[in-house]
Amino acid sequence: MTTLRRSAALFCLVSLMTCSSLALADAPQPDETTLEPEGDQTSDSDPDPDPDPDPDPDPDPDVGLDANTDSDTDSAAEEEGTAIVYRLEAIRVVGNRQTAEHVILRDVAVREGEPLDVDDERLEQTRYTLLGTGFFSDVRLSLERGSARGRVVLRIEVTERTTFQVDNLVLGFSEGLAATYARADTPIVPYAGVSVSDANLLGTGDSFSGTLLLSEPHQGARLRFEDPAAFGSPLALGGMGFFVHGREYYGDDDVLVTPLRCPDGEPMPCEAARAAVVNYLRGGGAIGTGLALSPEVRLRVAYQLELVSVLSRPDAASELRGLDVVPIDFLVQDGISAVSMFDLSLVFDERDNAALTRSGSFVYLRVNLASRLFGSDYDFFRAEGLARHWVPLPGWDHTLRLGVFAGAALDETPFFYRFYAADLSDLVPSRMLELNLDRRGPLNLFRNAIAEHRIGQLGARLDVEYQIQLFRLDGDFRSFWVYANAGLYTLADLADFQQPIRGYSGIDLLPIDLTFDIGIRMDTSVGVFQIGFSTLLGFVSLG
Amino acid sequence: MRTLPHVLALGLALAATTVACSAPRAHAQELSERRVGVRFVEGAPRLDVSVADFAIDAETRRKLTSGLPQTIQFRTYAYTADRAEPVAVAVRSCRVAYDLWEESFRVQIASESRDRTVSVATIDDVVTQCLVASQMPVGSASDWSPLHGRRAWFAVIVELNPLTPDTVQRIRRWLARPQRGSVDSDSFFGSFVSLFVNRGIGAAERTLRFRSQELEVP
Repeated sequence: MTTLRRSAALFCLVSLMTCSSLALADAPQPDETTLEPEGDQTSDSDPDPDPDPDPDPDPDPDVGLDANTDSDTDSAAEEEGTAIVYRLEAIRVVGNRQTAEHVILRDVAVREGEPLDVDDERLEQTRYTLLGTGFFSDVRLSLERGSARGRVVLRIEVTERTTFQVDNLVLGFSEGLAATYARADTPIVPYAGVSVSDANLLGTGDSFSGTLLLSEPHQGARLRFEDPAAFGSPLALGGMGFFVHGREYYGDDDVLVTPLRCPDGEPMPCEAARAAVVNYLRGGGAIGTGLALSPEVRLRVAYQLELVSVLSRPDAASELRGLDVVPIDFLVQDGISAVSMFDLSLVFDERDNAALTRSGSFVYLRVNLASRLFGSDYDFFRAEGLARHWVPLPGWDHTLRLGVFAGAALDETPFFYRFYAADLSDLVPSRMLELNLDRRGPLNLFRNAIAEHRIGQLGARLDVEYQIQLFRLDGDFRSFWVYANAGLYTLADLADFQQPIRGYSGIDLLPIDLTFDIGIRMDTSVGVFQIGFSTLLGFVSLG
Repeated sequence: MRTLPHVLALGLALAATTVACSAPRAHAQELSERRVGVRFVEGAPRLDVSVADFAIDAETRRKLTSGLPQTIQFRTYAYTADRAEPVAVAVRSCRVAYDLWEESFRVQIASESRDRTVSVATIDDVVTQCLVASQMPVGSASDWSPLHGRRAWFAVIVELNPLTPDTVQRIRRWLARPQRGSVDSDSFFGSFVSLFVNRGIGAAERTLRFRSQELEVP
């Protein structure tokens, strides 16, 4: 007993030491406490609320920490550690007004008719599994007597919550094409996008999401549907459909196009006469499945088929690339073409929180393969990987995030699957539904060959972000955070390695640009809102 | 069958981990005060303290009679006014399960000195076993002998179904991602769960904290 007591005490004291340094900072000065001294240290006044009114005046010095539990009252009978085991007669679900009962029961880890040990960890697992669906704000489990002695009913009481939410709301301005050749007249075009989802569509347990983007030159929509437990299996089954009308800009301000003509009814200089523009439609769908290999690792495979229809494009166009005038490759086939590809992704996610991450790692790997072997008009291979790691910093509630991204889009990858400055720079509005909202390329803050790359076969980014919580509140507005990040990114084509761009030399041949962002995050009862100021800064720097 | 050493190990691991991260010293000024009976016996304090009011509300009583195990953890820290770290700590962890057909409570009690299981008939008996301490030692004479003449006080934390930080982390990570696969590579679903459910995880289901009056170490 002595050995055990010593070991336990040592164990606890070692644990105590881990927080002593933190506690030290808050140690009050001796004169900070104003409680009245209790002079008689051997016999204090009555505790409150009323403990044992007649403590043993001469307790056994060998007694353990819980002296009172050694002198059990008549009502307590000491026994061996016996299990309480019943026969589970039924499972009863209450509180579900919308969610179908079978949707709840499929996440219950115990089955009717089985022996049920009340200490069975599957009961706790069931509670967290149900909470993990996101369909419920609370889940309570309890047992009730069954129809015969030894039988019980497992009662699962759920409190449903709304599962419809706005995932993303984007409002902004992008820089469009110049109305004339004078850049001062470049119009600023508003755009709006929204993504909504319902993770428990009509109480079926299936999820649905939709994305809509609207601006004057671009429109797009995408719908997704997913059964997270297809046919009662651990496999998810989902489908996606999309349709976009887009306008892609090529080249820079020195672009030349032919033929120099305008569509019917448009006066010169129309857009088609002063810029290399491809108007196109894309539409298609995908079907896929996903499997959780572990709580942290998810594997996903999908097949996607889409049609691309080029509505209009110049017969030819050229641009000034360094010192050379080079033809523009529109990176899309004329008329109607098909993209048939397989999509494989692997996600490792051990973040403590997906929205306001403070620690953990996230790794995302994805490959796409399209081939004429399965009906595609494009042969290409595309791969990308993203890794992020969050490090909680000591002291205040602040976190450092390190991130790296790299991707390659090889062979005949159409333009919308290549990498854009808009994907890698925070200073240019991001693409949405693969629609490039802004005609601008890299801001080229280092004045190097990145100026020639608005789009590339290769893309990479390295960044670091600092986030700190300024204050925390009770109620709907929970906390307020400020973040700032900075990084470097690059865009390149394979041809650049064989034929360096003339007009650049030395370190200026490296197509590297700076990106940064600063903004706020607000954690509220309806979600986390982020407002970044980088896009505005990007406009300012264009001035 | 869950063995008593297992219960003890769980209880002590839980206690030690939570002790390490939630010692109440930093919040001492914010704690309400209750008077606690203290008697020094052979150089170490023994406490008479009751937190029976912790189980007075209907929700806690409902949980205790739910038929599923509930954990009550009762920790007592001893402090002196001039030291940041506790002088000593005493922990009692109770795992209570109500037997629906026997109409009795199985109470598994784990502490640093011993562990045992008792059967009691009423919630009041559970309270007596788990929430009332009589002549409870906090530390040993060797812990207190260097503190002769110092001012000392005790802090008490009682929690219903506390979670260890490791468990919290596991649950948070798990809630951030559905157990099944997801076809959607954007993981909208995961962030959704994380946003609205995760906040409720991490703390004990109910917590009571208070501190004792101050006294002089003999």
